[in-house]
Amino acid sequence: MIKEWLFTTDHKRVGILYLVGSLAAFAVAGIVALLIRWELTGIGETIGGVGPDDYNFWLYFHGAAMILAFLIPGLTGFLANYLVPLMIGAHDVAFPRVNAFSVWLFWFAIVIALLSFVIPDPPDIMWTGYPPYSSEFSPGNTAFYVFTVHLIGFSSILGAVNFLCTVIYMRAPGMKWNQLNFFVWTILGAFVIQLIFVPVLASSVTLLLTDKYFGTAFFVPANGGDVLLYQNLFWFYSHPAVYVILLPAVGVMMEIISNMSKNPIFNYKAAVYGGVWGVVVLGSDVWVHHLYTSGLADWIRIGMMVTTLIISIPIGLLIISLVGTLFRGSIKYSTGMLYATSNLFLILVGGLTGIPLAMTSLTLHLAETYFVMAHFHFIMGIMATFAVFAGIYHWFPKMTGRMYSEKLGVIGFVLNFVGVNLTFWPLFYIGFLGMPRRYYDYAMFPEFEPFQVMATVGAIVVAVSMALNFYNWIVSAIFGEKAPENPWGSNSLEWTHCQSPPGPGNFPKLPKVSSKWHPHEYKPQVIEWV
Amino acid sequence: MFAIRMFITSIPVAVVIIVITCRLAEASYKPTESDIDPGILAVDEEKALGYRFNRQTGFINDSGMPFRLGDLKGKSAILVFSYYTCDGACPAFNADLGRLLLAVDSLGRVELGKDYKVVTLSFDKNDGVKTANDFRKTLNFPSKLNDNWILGVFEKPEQIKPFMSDISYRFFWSAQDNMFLHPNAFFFLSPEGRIVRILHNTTADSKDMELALVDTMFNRLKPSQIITMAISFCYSYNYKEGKYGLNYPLFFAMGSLLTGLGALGIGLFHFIKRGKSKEMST
Amino acid sequence: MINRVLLLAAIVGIIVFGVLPVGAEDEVKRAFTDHTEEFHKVWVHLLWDIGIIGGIFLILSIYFMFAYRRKRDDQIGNGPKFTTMGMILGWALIPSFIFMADDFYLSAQGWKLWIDQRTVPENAMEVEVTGQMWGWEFEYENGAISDNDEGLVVPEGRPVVLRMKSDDVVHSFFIPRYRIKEDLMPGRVTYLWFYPKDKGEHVFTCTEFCGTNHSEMWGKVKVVSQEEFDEWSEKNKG
Ligand code: HEM
Ligand SMILES: [Cu+2]
Ligand SMILES: [Cu+2]
Repeated sequence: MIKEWLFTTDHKRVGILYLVGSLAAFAVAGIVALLIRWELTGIGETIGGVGPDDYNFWLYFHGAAMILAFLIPGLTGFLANYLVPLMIGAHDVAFPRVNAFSVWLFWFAIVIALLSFVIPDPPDIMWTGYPPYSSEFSPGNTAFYVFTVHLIGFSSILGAVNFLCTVIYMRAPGMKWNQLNFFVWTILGAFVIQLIFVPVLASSVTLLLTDKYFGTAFFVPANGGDVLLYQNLFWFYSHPAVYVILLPAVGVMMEIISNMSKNPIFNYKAAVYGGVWGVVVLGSDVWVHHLYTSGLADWIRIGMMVTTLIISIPIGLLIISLVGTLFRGSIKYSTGMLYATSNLFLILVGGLTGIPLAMTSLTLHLAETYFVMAHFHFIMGIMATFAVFAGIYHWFPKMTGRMYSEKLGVIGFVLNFVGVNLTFWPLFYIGFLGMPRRYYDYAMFPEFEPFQVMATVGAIVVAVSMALNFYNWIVSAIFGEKAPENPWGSNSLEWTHCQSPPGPGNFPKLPKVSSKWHPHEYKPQVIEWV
Repeated sequence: MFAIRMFITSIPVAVVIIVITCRLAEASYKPTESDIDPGILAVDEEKALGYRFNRQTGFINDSGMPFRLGDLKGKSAILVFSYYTCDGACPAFNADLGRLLLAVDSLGRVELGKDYKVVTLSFDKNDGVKTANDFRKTLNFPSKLNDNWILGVFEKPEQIKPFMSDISYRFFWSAQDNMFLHPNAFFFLSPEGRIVRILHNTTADSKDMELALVDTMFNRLKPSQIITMAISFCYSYNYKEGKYGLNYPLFFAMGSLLTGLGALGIGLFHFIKRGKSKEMST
Repeated sequence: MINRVLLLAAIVGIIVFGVLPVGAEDEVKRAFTDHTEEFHKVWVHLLWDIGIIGGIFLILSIYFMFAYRRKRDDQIGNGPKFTTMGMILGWALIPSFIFMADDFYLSAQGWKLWIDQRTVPENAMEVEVTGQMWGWEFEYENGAISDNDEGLVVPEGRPVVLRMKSDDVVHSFFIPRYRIKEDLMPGRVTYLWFYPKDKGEHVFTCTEFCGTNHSEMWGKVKVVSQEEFDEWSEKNKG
């Protein structure tokens, strides 16, 4: 049984392995977040015996694990693996063994990341790893960071090649491009970004490694290196990486909102060609908005202010489609739908607070403060996480063949939503007043203590809701009632053409779709089998 | 299938290339022995970078007109210190600068006069309009240099020392050699009058001079200079050697980006070709 | 139950987008009194801008979420069909132009302020700032020296320009009161300027992660009268 799972090449099992790994990373990084929050409730040392070095390691782990080991694998590993072949009506992905190999790489990366809890010199360079601190001065073990990035990067490059080939070559007979599920489009966009940009990140962290351990001087200014170049290269990948997270998250929302309101996607073509591909194209030339206070030439900063603001156009198209899909719908709320619709609020808060951060002149004040922290938690830490949760709930009957407890799900959702708002709104406020991020202590701002306490209370509420969610999933997967074949009345192939959970090879017979069929149309339609 | 095979074979190749280039880069980073006397003849670069000379101090040029550094507003400048009665090192040093700048001009990207000016100031309180004039005659520059080269002396001799002391530019009269000992350095000033770069005639070549000039202008991009700016991204300054070197990480990154784009491109090409052949067969 | 959840979400949303801009306006008005007034103006414009956009979308979504709940089990949605090119393009291009207009409006505002923020006045007093792990050193034009315990002492009523560099890793100098920050790094010189119009004490602190004691790298900007400043800088010479 265990061997069967370990050596599986079935995309569904690979997807579940991704899910388990990324949720494990999420749980550990979440507990670490609680510790961080607890430490911040008081000025000075709050948890006995915890010094700044522990705090810095925790923060490194929290950031790196949440992004590299939870969100990216959760969205482009788990959801993509599980859903894409089912949605396009394929037996499996194009290269099943490569797929299995990439999930192994991912698990190795998680092991390496977790090992940093036991080594004597854990990395403390934050998930951004800027030199010269990371390459010359840090007492921590930069290599662990670099190898984690390498493994995860390699894993997602393989994933990218695999999924691009799968979608291009293995669609069900008759399935035209404009009949793809919206989620499949967002996965395509995300993987194109990964394929192009991950190599840049991998090569720049490699140079970091040779600087630290082999005495090269790529980033040492005295010997002709350029300090700012690493920051540029890092964000040249890592800004597009936020779209690797954002796009599939929007894809999941769109699927669920369309399905649960039984409504076709509002202006599907504009959302695909303008929204998704607009983000992919424009996303590559805005990275300097992370470097507005880094000492680059003024004209570069102003130029990237304009390009960054322009990104609001494709994102706006996506949001119009999300909201528009509700219009004249027939909306039924499930836990998944609650997460998806509350995401409309979160994407608005996160997205709109990004606008002051796009303006150089305002960011001169806001950069590196809690305002930024609250902004990216809203859009990424919460919105994208909610999308993963929505996905788990919505496709839970598909994956397990059982129903989760709707009641627990809704209670968990309410706690979660209240908790995150309680945690992060106060941080916007003190961020605007000047609270810097990555601070172990804030003796200079004693007046912020009540807000920090409020945020910690929020984090505890979130933790309770997480416990409920995990409990719900585990217990329902084993003891849940049997789920109906198509509980949400979807028209997408994974619900209409295969059992729950799908057997080996997914479909008893390959589905063939007619030109009238569309996964987001909810009229009774004739679907042919080959 | 073809795409992925291409991609996978490219990985070991990339690894080999990276290892070799790392070696090369490492070798090229070996600090070289410099042959200038590090003691007095060097300026404290650490302190001097970003420094702004007093913009209001009055000077008189060799035609007797008063001027201040503030008058250069909006143009970059190269500033050197000399004394005009010197009969060896100083004329040679200024002539070196002239030669380098003509070479920069011939590259055609940064133009003397249009983009920047040159100012020589004398730190000798005995210098005056007359010695400055003689110095210009000794230099005997072609008109391009001559027209954009200001030779100046301090209006008030007591301002000489304070003007340069902040960057610890030291000079003193050696009675034994019957001359001033002083650092021979080119100060590159931004249009705001701040020191952006310091180069020495012993190490700098025309490429270094051009890159340093571009550095001074960097904050004021003109669209016509976009290529020049792009070139300057490819180099970074090496403080140990006082020269510009290739910015290796950028090339690695470019290589990696091309790998990604290449993989995507090959895949797309293959896809389109397949689509065509399918059409033909039906 | 689900109805109550939605109601709660609606209330939170309305509070956030309705009250926040107004409340924040008071907050910032109190904080700004001098050359950062322009920052204040842009910030308030921006809050209204994003408040209105967010408000419209949010009110629409909440309305849809209530109004179009499923009445019968077999009911399906009746949303608009995008069958004509005109409709597809219209719904794509018109909003795009609106967003783009807003982007350019904001860019123009931000740009204007940016030029003010980056143009150092000619008469500014220059202070050399050096960042090290984990402290600051300030050197004045007359040779006076100070550090983070002593504070960045400046006379009132005269712009100050900081010429900044780092001895080791990247740091960032941030004075929340004057709404400015900029990184310091080895091998490059960066600038920042501010206008201490009135006497007072304000926090400055490091905002680029620099290791163990990153959060200890703070001190106070002390704005004093010219006489006090002269006396102080005489005392701290050398
Ligand atoms: C509700 C659960 C969470 C809480 C309470 C929380 C809390 C925090 C706190 C307190 C910090 C750092 C504060 C500081 O700068 O000193 C932080 C940083 C961060 N968090 Fe979270 N977080 C949560 C969830 C997430 C999630 C889901 C993500 C996924 C993207 C995430 C990504 C990050 C990142 C990238 C950083 C920055 C780390 C760095 O500065 O290098 N967080 N979080
Ligand atoms: Cu970004
Ligand atoms: Cu710091």
